[in-house]
Amino acid sequence: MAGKVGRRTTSGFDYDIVIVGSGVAGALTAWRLSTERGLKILIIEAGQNGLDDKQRAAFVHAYQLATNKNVPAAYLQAEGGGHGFVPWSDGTGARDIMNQYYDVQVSPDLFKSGFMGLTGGSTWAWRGNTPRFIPNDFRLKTAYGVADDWPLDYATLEQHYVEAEKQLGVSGNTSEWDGVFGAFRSEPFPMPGIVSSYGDKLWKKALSGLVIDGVQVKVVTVPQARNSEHYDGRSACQGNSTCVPLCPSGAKYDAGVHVKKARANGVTVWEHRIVTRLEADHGGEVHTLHYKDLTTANKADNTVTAKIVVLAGNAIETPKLWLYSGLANKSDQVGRNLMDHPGFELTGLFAEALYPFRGPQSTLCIESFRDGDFRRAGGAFRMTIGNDGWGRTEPPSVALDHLMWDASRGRFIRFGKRLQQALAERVTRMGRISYSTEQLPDHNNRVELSDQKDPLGIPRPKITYRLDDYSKRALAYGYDVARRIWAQLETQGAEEVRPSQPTFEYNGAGHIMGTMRMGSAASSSVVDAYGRAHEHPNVYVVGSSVFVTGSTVNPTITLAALTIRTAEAIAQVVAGRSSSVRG
Amino acid sequence: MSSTDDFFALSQVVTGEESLDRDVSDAYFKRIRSAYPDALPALLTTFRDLAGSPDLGDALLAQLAQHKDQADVARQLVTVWYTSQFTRPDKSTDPPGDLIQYRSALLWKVIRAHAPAVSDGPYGYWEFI
Repeated sequence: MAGKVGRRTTSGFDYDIVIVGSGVAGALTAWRLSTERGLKILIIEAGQNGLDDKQRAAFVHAYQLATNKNVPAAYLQAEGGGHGFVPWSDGTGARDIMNQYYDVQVSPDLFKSGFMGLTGGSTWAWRGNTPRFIPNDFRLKTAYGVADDWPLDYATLEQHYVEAEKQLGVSGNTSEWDGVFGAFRSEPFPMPGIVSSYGDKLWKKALSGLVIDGVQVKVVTVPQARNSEHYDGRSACQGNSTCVPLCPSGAKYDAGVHVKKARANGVTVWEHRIVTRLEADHGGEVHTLHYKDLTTANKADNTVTAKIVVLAGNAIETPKLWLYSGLANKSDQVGRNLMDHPGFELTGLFAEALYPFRGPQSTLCIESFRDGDFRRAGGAFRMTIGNDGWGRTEPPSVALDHLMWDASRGRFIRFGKRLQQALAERVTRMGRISYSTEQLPDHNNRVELSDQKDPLGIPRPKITYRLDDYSKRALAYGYDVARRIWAQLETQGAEEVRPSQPTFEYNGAGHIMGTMRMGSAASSSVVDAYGRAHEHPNVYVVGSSVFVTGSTVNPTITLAALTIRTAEAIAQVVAGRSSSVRG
Repeated sequence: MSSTDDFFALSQVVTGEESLDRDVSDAYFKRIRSAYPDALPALLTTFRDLAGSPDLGDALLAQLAQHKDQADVARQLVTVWYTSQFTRPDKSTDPPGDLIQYRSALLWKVIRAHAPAVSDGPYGYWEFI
């Protein structure tokens, strides 16, 4: 077989543990279990890219010279990218467009979030925001009578949050975050919060004392897995202003950090191999994984065996693999409750120059609307203040053309010094406020197997997704609050606020959640509170696919905390200190 | 003066920037001439003929209002200096030629920032202007 297995384990399998996927969940699982004595561990990863400085420099170079500075631009050279084996392109259309892979023909609304097929997963391209859930995020049913409660609470997870923040390296201001909506902190952040930008200070001053609907609008520094000082062998942030899609310095955490640590501890990593099917035995345990070896000329089919299987894909790929494998699904929950954080933004010209495009793309946020009785009827939201101008709606190059050229008449408006002055006056004042909303789990929002096949002959994910009224109320309230914040700024000289009317337009957040939900009962969930599959006891699921509800915040630090908790549970099992699997 | 000299002088007028890099100018000359083989020489001839005008910028602006093809290439000339890339006649994008061009795009200097992914700054430089 193409993958070198070497010695078998004492239990007779090729590996004690096989982990499918090397994103943050898979990498953390591998690293944590690699600290246990004597375990033979394998990661199987679809992507194929280096994790060293040379690879990072190559990605940066590709991004700098790309004409379209979108997320995939940096990564098109990575083996797999654009070859149809990873999901940001289906290999038939433009290689730099994400999500052509999804079959969305029957979806009422578009699911707008994608992911990366890279070793290290989507953390290559994340912004690094790491706010924790708040206690009520785990108990929506009890607190507000909507959705479902989680099978664990904030206090249970708090120590794992602490460990996750240490592992990822989170910078944050403890005094701003300890106790937010009851989210206590037992330890400070590992590093001080990221220094605010010049413009951030103007935002804070302008919004000081603002109260909306009886709620004080408090602007704080968002915790981020980005170094504010030398930490874990990586430098402090150098402010390259490209957190998304790529951190040139490596100051921002990506899962490559723990893939490398796991490797150093003896974990084997197979790249460019795609697990296509899991095979359950008569007892319900899954020990055989079928995969396609893309390193071979004929993309050979092969198998590998494991005592314990950990599924660390995302909330699209994990249920797809589960369904294609025909694994047990008595609860009918596999693939259901797909969630994201639909959001949008309001842009405007600030009263004075903010000087964006210097430093991290965002360091400020407003958490004031993350909880409240309004959650009975509509979703909560959190807000981000950007340091990237109108990067999403009118990047500087577009602003340049607008100021220079009259498109309707086909002639110059201005050039030379007058163009310079106009550009400096306008672009330096550009600001944005974004809102990211809570979406409830919806039974009908789901991932299924499409009749359409990817270039490897594997069904593509068919996605059905709809924004319900709860989400739409959150989007409406988010717009309303953002508009009133800009109204406050308009009294100080801000102008050109857009959109000027409420809109139900939304963007995807890249926060793919649900579809393998956890719960106490096998009748209504896929995995238990430790991520262990109810119906396949040697299979564990890690990642945001196990989320019961989605909160308003970036999911990474919560999924990292849950992953560490799951890895510790697996360690107990393999050590024989908990109910063990066969073998 | 040679065409590259004319191109350099024209670039100074339309960008409003005196301290342009001559090597970058020569590289941009080649790129734009390749995409606009007829319109660029015509634009340079127009510019040359305006030598001695009391206000060269206004005189050029008036001429470009009369010559759409020259205005189009002048627009791309400004664009390449500001962004290191420009649009060809077929609407495709001519990418940055190299990192020197990418880093020196005038846009970032004018707004007192830096080209994305090349800050060269120490931690926290963004706190001050």
